[in-house]
Amino acid sequence: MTDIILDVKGLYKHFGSTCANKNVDFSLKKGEVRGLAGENGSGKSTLLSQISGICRKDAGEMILNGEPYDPHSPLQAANHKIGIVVQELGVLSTLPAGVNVFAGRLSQFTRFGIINMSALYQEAEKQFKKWGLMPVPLKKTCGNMQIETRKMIELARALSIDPDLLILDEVTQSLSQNNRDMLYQLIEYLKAAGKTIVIITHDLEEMIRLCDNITVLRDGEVVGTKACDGLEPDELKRMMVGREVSCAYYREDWVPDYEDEIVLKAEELSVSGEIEAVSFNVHRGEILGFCGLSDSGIHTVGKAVYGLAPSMKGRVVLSKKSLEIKNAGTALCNGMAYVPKDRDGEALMMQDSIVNNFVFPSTTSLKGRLSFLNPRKLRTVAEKGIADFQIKCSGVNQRMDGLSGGNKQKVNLGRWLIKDLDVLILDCPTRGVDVGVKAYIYQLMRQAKAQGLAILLISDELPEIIGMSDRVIIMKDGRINGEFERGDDFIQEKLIEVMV
Amino acid sequence: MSRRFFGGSHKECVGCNVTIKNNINRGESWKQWFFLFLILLLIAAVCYLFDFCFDGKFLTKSNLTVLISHAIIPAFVAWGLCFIFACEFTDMSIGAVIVIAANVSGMLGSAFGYPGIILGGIGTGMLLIAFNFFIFVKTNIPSWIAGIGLAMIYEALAVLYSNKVTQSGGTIAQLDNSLRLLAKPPYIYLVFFLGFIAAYLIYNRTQVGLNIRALGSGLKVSADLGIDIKKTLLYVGLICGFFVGCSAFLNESYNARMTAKTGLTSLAMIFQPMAALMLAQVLQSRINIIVGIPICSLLVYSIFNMLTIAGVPSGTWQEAILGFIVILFGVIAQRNTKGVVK
Repeated sequence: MTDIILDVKGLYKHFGSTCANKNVDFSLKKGEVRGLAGENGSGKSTLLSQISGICRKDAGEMILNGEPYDPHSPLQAANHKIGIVVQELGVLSTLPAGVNVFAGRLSQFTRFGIINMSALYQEAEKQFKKWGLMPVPLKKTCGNMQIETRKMIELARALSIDPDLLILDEVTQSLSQNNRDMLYQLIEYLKAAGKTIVIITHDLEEMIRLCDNITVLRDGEVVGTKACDGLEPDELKRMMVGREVSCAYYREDWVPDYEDEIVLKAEELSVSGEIEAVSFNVHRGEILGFCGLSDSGIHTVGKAVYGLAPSMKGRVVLSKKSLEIKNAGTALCNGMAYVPKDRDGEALMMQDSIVNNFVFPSTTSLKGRLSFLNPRKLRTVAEKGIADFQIKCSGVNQRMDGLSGGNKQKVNLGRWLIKDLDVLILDCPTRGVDVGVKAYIYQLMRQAKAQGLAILLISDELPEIIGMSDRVIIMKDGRINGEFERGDDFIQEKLIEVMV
Repeated sequence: MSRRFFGGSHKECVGCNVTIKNNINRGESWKQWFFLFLILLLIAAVCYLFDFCFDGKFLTKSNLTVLISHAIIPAFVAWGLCFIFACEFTDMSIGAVIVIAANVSGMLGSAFGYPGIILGGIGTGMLLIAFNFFIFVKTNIPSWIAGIGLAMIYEALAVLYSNKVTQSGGTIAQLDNSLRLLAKPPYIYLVFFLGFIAAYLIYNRTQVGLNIRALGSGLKVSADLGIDIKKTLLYVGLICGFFVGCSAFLNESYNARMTAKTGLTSLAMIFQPMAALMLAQVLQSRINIIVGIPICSLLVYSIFNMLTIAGVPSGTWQEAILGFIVILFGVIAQRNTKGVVK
């Protein structure tokens, strides 16, 4: 009996004139953990989408367990014991979490046409327990749940079929440290059980740590497959990009470097059930990091500071103007900007053009004397933004949903950086972007810091927090649990100790 | 490179050292029932107070009977609309469909008795609204635009029929008094009970019901999860048509006949069911929407009834007050939400 579970030969996939996958050969062994690396738009997600039935191949063949395999839906892939957690959010927001776990497979709970909901919820609960996933309220609809919770539901759905092949497309970047640890253990367990796992993550060190082998794609083609033993991230980056990539991701100084002037004060911020009495100051030119476990409330802090948290108590004051920020409108008009974690859902207008997305936060300053917006002026601003921020697109009128994750994030960040800001709130700014874009975002942050911008960096990635922050506030259960200043104590172990 | 991770080893469950709590909040349904009880208690208290203020004119047997019958008929339309709104579609032709279905129900009822009334109403409702959804799916026209077009066509068909029978010296389908029992107690309660069970089960406990609700999350995600979108939309038409058809035969039974509407006046026929549905939607975080619809329908008609008893002119003032109450409910339901709710 062969130990190959999936063999992909000569796979092609086109989207219009774009060739997303070109003659891809790819095989997976049973019990293997395989990484897929490549820049944004290199065709990784497309390849996995074809394996998991989200889209159909144009040419080539797939052999699963020795049999020809060509799924036309994720459901059919699931019937072949292939589970996927997709890069974008894939939950049905209008249905309860428990139903989402078995979406598309409800017939197992149906008798005479009626679904036994209590059996469904019990089985969903069993799945969460069985796989050790973070508990979620199973009877609540998913619409208002946080990204991490929704990812847990997707993970439960993929695992509920007891997959022989589990595909995880940029999952870890949506998870906080404790849930990442859980996922790492889960991967080890599945591997030990002879299951195959394919992982896409832009955290190359994580990928090397987790995987046995890594396949690199560039421009839709397989560049090569490398064993992870002894593999260095730089070598992987070189394969991905096709040239030498500088390692200078993060700051290289190890002392805090900011002015004494306080730009923003947060006093006793509380949001019911999420954060409690959170107070801090941010200084001019400072990057203040926030990190914590999944239920620590770090993401709520970002919303609260920008006036977006519902029923918030406490005060956020912009020191220069002694102005209290009570809503996002006041924040926007007074030199504040917020880049949320859920880029597609909360930040960008996905069905709209780049130009409209780019100029949207600046319309007040761009409007003419009679309050009309001059299309030529808007276009000029957007074109300059595209050039300045190196956004790869077909033009200012291209729709946002046609851009890769990294380019979407460049628009998302760039549209704020063209403004004259005092405070920039970044919630997981490098989520779902590749090494090149990541390095570029860090470079933009360093430039903004040098120009005196105060930055709140909220992140689930400790290396990012450690690499970029002057100070870091660690939260636990909605409260501040510790604070570190850049220096000797700024190491992962110490931060984790306070986080847990 | 080190392959050591944080956290402990696998023990009783696959996962790890996270604390596993009970995911299913079993208190939720208890809370829902308690809230329902509170709402009903509040309505009863208001009714009692009103009755006391207006010399016992409100809580009389005859008034309550009329009121409940009035509330049941639009509740069926609201249930139908509930399925359409769940998948984020809309159908503006429902009023016109009710007119046609009621007339078919009347015609078949006169010929075949009760089976004709029921099957005529339900069959026509299902056929026409399924056809509407077929048009929505096939033409890719936004449903509210296509719905208005279809409403005009259905209104015209009803008028053509009406003109034809009038010109030939007859009258439009009219049910004999002996065939109007379905809209009278206790039969109307039985119809309501069966309709309620059907709506509740389909919406909450069937695969097709969940698929319809899933479409409201986005068509792509739904398709990725194996839901056949076109087929599901046709089911929406059939299910909505069933409830609209029930409303049509109840209307026909209650009024004996239904005249044709012109100039899109049929649209107004769904405003009051829509008000009940909107109230139920704002309460749905506390009460299941299918349960909420008849309660809200009763509430809407109670308000109209009270206003009539209080001598408030019908039409303008009554509807202004209803509008105010809908907004008030919305404010109460969204009081913890910051920002704008679409």
